[in-house]
Amino acid sequence: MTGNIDLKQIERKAWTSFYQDGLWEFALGLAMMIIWIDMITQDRLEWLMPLAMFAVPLSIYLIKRFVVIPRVGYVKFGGERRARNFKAVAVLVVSVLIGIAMAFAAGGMIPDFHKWLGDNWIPIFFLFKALIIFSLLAWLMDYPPLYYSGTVFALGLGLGSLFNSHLIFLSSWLLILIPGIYMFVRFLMKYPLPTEEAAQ
Amino acid sequence: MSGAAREGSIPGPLPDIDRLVHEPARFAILAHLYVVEKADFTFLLNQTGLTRGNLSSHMSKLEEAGYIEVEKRFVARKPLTVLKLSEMGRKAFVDYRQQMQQVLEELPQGASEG
Repeated sequence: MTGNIDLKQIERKAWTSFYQDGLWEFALGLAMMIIWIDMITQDRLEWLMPLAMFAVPLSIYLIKRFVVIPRVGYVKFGGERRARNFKAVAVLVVSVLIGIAMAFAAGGMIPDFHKWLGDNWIPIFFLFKALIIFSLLAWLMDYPPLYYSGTVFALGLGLGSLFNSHLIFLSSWLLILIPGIYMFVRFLMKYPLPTEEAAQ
Repeated sequence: MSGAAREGSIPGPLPDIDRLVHEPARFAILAHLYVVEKADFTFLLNQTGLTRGNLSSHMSKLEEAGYIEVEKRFVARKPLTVLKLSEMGRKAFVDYRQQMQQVLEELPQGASEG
């Protein structure tokens, strides 16, 4: 045995095996799908949106808790990873707050907001905001697939709103969700559920 | 020890190498526990690629030596075995790496490399 091993590589492999389950892609793809459904039903299901926005993260949490962790095993990462994760959560919270503030402002809370900013600038703002946030999250979480899904999400959200095109929304959630399903199936095949004895 | 045996012995810190850490499977377990705070049996099983029996037996040896701390509990009526590197285990792992690096650095160049 040699002491000359790459501990960083071991840690990174452990990290990626715990997170490459496609759940981030599920979350983003489903969020985009909800916006698309809202668009094609012409706001008839608008009441369902807050419920869906609550149900998606809850479902992701439950899948992680009851499907992913029993297969891949439980692990608590070191301080450095936890600090980066904490920063990622902070970035996400700030991003959601900015998004909500913008939505309220554009929704009429600030009079003449559209006129002041210009209609086209709102989707462009959301495009760049999502692009910056997801790139930051991908970097903080050391999760490269998020660069792809975050970019598709940002482009879908920005361009879909700009051109008012449900086709752009449709293609973007499909482009995110299909790789997510592939990653999830690959994860399930790689990590079958261990027997009760194996967990001891 | 005879003079001939002494002459043939490897110089440097190799005789001091911790045999418990030196075994590849145990080294893999310690390396994985070194980079995380704690992990359960299933996680180590997946990461190290060891069989259940192998991991279990090496886990017992490391626990006996005081290199790891093992916590057994039930979560939702299912057994959960969580492993953590002890301070002693951490020190043993760091010492082992340093010693091995020193041994490798002190090795003379091979004939083919000269």
